[in-house]
Amino acid sequence: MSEHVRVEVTVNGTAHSTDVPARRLLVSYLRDDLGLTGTKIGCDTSSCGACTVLLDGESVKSCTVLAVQADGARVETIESLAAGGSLHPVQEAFREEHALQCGFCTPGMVLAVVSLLRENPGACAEDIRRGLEGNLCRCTGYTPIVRAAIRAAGAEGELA
Amino acid sequence: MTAQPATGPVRWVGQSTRRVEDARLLTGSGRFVHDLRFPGMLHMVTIRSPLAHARVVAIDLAAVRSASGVRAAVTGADLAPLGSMPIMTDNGAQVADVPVPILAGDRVRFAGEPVAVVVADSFEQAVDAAELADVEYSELPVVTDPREALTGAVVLHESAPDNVIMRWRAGSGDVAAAFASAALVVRARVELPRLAAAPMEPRGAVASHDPATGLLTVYASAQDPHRPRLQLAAVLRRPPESIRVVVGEVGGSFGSKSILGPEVFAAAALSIRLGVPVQWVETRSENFLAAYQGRGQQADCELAVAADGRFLALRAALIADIGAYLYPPSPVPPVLTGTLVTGVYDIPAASVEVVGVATNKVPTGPYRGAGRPEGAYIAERMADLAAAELGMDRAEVRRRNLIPAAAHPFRTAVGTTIDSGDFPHLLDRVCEMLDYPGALARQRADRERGEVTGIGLSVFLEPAGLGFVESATLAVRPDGRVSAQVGTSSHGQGHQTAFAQLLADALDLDFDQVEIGYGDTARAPAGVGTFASRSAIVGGSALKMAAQQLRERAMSRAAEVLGASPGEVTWHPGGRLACPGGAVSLAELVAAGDPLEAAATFRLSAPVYSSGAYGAVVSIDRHTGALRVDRLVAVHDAGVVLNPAIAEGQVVGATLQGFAEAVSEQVLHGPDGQVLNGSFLGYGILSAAEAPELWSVFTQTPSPLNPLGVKGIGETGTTGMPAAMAGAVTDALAPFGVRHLDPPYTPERLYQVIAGAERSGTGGGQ
Ligand code: FES
Ligand code: FES
Repeated sequence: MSEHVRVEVTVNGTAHSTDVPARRLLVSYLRDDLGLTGTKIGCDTSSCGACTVLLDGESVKSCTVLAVQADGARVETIESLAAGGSLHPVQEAFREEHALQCGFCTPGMVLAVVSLLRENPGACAEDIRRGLEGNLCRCTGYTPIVRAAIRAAGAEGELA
Repeated sequence: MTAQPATGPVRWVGQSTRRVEDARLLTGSGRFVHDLRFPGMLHMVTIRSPLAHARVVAIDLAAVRSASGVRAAVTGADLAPLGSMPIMTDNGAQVADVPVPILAGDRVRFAGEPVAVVVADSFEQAVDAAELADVEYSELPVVTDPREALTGAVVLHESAPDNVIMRWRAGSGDVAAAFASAALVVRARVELPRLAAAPMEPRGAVASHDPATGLLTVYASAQDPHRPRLQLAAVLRRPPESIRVVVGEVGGSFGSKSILGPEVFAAAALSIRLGVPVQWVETRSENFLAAYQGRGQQADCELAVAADGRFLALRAALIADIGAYLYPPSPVPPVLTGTLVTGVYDIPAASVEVVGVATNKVPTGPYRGAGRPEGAYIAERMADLAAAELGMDRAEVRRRNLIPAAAHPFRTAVGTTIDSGDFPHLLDRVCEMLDYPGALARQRADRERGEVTGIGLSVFLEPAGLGFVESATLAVRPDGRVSAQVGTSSHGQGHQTAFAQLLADALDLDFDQVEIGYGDTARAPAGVGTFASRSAIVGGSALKMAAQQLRERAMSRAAEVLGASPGEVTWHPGGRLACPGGAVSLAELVAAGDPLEAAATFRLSAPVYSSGAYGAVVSIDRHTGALRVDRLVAVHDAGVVLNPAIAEGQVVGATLQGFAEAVSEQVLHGPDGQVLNGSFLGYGILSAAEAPELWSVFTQTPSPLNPLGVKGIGETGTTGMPAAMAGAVTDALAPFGVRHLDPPYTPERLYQVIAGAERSGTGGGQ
């Protein structure tokens, strides 16, 4: 029925070559074709950020990107972050600061923070609040997420 | 891990132990229903009514059925005969027999009502096929305003010609005499609009019927597995034993998933018919259209006040905009409002009447607070208005009327018995945190400079623990660890952690020697679920009782094994049982003999009352209507707190929800019954950039009604915030002649009030 296109994309370090319907969104490609269900879908208006992934290192809402648009690109999802079994400093900070409750927004939120701190390692609370505007959380009230981001910024500073 | 003292009776309770849940949720390995994949699983999409009120003349699904990948498409008639979800009436409400249909019959009564469903190999195919449905409607007049509905000009259900589908009343004392003798009678019509719970994970389920065994397994995004199982049994007319419900990760609920959506029953019926798993996960747009909403209550209130500021009597006539049908818990919030209209005050006489009205809108049901915010809003608005009309300070009016701590258990004039609490202390504490006298002085100075600022206070109750029974089972595993199954279930509240803390202390074990399980009717003991801030109270108490039982059983087993008399055996940290002649571990005890298990059920005798107070200082930009929070403080009395980080997390999260309720959230319906702002673009969920900072503290008056002394904490912020914000905003606008204004306090609304007053010369300084 619908037209298929070949997509070659490196996801979490593994190269994939898949025929997908032209209209398939990156988020469905990750979740349904590759089985990477850590990336969530929370809306249909590109408003919530639950689907946030890193595309060539930059955070994008994967519900606003077609799978074909990721052709030739590198995608990182939440599944790649705790490589080697130990949590990423941002994940660790979320845990320490109780920055998640139900955990549904968390994969997107963590990746948004990772990307935000890469771009602005010295981000202050104001920067973080503004930078996370596209990621909604209905549980935490955000304060612990902001604290986690600040803690992670410190931790990454120490690591660097 | 948080540092721990080596021994001692209480080592984990009261610590902000890191959550057990987090590792899986942080790495993307938590499984929500949308993440489940089963061989042969089909995808279901719902065909919904585009009209708010119409006769369904004909449904033609021929084109749907012949679309690519489609396995079935059915209407309500195809699924008949299904039963309906029983409406809850144990709170004394009288209700009409108007349950939510699974799929509409010959009439639709709200825009978004499910009319038919289609299942296909892929979600995309099901979406495409659904668009081919040909449904012929004949439009009927629409009524969206509950007061208009009461005229009966448009009738939704022939069995209720006045559209009244629910009633409740209560009261005591000589109300008429109190009003006759009052120095002052304060009157107001107040309203809290309809809200969307909007959990980040929409509703959904996977139904999987095994034709070989006849077992129907439903994986649901729900607040607990037990109520859904009973609902499935009632609707599908099957014995509960033939149904297993599994609740895995749940991406928030806030009351909105205490009942399965009608779509889940359709998915289950289709799984039974087709013999394959069927997944239904709604879109966000569908969640705004068809998930039950909260609030939508208004009230005409009268308060009789003596010259010295004492409240003598309260009268309230409540109207609840129930919507098109009754969900099982639809009567719950309005009745709870009714029981709380006197708030934290000693008001000797009261009468309250609740009328639930059918309108052409999606039904309402519990949303975080579920009647508590509405009750607090009524009591606190009336207290503010009494102060204004007496020319008395608002803290002082409250002080003169608060129920004293020594008066508990206190029975209010609407028949509510409050077990414990120290409301005067809460008020003093919140005033101290606000620097109330200083704030008043600053406000005077600010006003002289032409600034628009206000101070608001609220003191409120949070009855918790409703649904009074909960169970827990324990078993010692071969490695000596103790695993528990509890009847409550978690959707963000961190039960796996808080209950493990409780159990580790009760058995003097290390935190990682215990493990908490829940959410699967095949394993968890009967329970009622997680709502009404009840898990810690009822479920935690059951767990503690089971632990006590396990201890006793282990001690007597140890006595046998060691050849000692029971009195000689002592319990040591880590699960070692010793007598003068020897010692044995829990692992050795189960290796040596029968399983070591315990089970307990806790029954709470009456609701437990948490309480709290909020204080807010706001300023409003007179040129744009933009509202700024200058200071926000809260004090909560949740009794004994199991895990402070989790409790604080509940408060901060609920406070933002309550704040959003006050400043931006409201589901808007057009006169044709269409939802006007059904997405995250239009509905005012707040982002990190808009969230205010809260300064919050806890005090403690342990509840006498449970062995832990705990109370609820889940709904405090949504309960206290709207009233405090209403106090602050109306105070800010008082110079413009505003006496009362209902939320949401959007910039547009505030700007219009200020601009209107300035045009008519009511000034407000400058
Ligand atoms: S799913 Fe909401 S922004 Fe992508
Ligand atoms: S933790 Fe539940 S939505 Fe963010």
